[in-house]
Amino acid sequence: MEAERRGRGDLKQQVFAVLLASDAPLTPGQVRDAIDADLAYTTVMTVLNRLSEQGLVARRRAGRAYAYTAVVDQAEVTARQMQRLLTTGEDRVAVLRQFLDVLSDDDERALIELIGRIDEDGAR
Amino acid sequence: MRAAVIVAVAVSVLVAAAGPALGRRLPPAVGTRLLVAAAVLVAGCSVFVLAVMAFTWVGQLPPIAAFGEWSVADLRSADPIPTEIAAGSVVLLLPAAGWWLAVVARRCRALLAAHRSCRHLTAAGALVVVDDQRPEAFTTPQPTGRIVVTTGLLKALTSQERRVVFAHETSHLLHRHAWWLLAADLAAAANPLLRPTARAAARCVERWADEDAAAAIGDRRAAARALARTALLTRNPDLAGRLALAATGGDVPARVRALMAAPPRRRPACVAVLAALLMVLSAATVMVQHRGEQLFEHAGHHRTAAVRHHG
Repeated sequence: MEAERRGRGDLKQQVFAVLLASDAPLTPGQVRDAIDADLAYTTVMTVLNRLSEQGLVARRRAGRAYAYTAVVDQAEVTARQMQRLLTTGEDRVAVLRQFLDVLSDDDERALIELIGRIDEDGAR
Repeated sequence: MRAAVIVAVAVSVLVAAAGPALGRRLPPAVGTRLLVAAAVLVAGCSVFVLAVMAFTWVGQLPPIAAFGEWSVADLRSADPIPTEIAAGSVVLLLPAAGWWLAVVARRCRALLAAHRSCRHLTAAGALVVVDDQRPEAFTTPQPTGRIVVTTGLLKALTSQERRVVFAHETSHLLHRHAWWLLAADLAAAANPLLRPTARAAARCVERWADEDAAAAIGDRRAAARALARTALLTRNPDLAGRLALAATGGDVPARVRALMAAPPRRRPACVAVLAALLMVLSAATVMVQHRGEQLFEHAGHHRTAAVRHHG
């Protein structure tokens, strides 16, 4: 099953990311729908509780259920540390695996064209 | 010994030259492992062969010969390596060793900095979210491996695109890509001929993570689209939806095209050829070591004989 294939750590990341990407607090049901409607409600609850214990999410009552928001604690300290990691020197960048390289203008045009091609194939 | 040296050098050059092409043809997971292993072996063997050649000249210096108890004259007459080449090896090796140690020190410092920055972070799984509008994602090396993503990127991505980014970064952590690439980089620092191979290994690592991401969401084309969109976002958020005319491109477009194409095929022939070359290289290096040892034993033996004769 989909939910079993996905590791616990992976799900935790998904839940946290969904809460972060949302501007409003989300109920566990909404979180589940945003990830995968087939996911068990209790699984999402377990993950939310664990994140809550870690202090990564905050909850408040919304009607009968709780609604959750992500907490980016010490964001500024972290941001500064990470910025330092990224900006100082070739060696620092070499030990980090960045998701993407720098794009040239040609790369950009090529990517836009490729997306167009994928969408065309999908529409057909 | 001369033949073994020539074979070792020739095979090293051949492997270094073939590296980028192999990286393009092999499936990325196999390609990464093979290229890094080949780079480390070639770097090790070439440095070793150079060191043996250098020592046939260094060994002729009177204090070294006295210390090693061999005859300078015998060594000189039996040495198959021309003096210019042996002396050239010394000139090449000394600055190269200094340069290599400097690179190692710099990389270690960078690794420590990354480790220190990540040690105390609270993470969801391995995920660390930085409150920053600039879209950015990267992983830090193990053992404090973290996936660092900015809120700017998370908010701009759809749920499926987020899964692609996370699966890609998780693959980097799971397979310890940072360490493979560190090995390739250090090999390239020891032997500059290996730089294209190290770059090819870096491309393989990204493709490996892309393939894992595609497998995680079970849809290669969707993964390709997510990769392309994320690439455009990290460059310019306004461009994500716009369309323009085609052009050829560098690395990211190649990764997207690879995901749009069929899954990579196994290439047993490529693997076999590379393995054979590496075996020849190892054998030649062992031969160089063996002949070098014989050379010094021979010179030492003659000296003891001469001393005994005089006595």
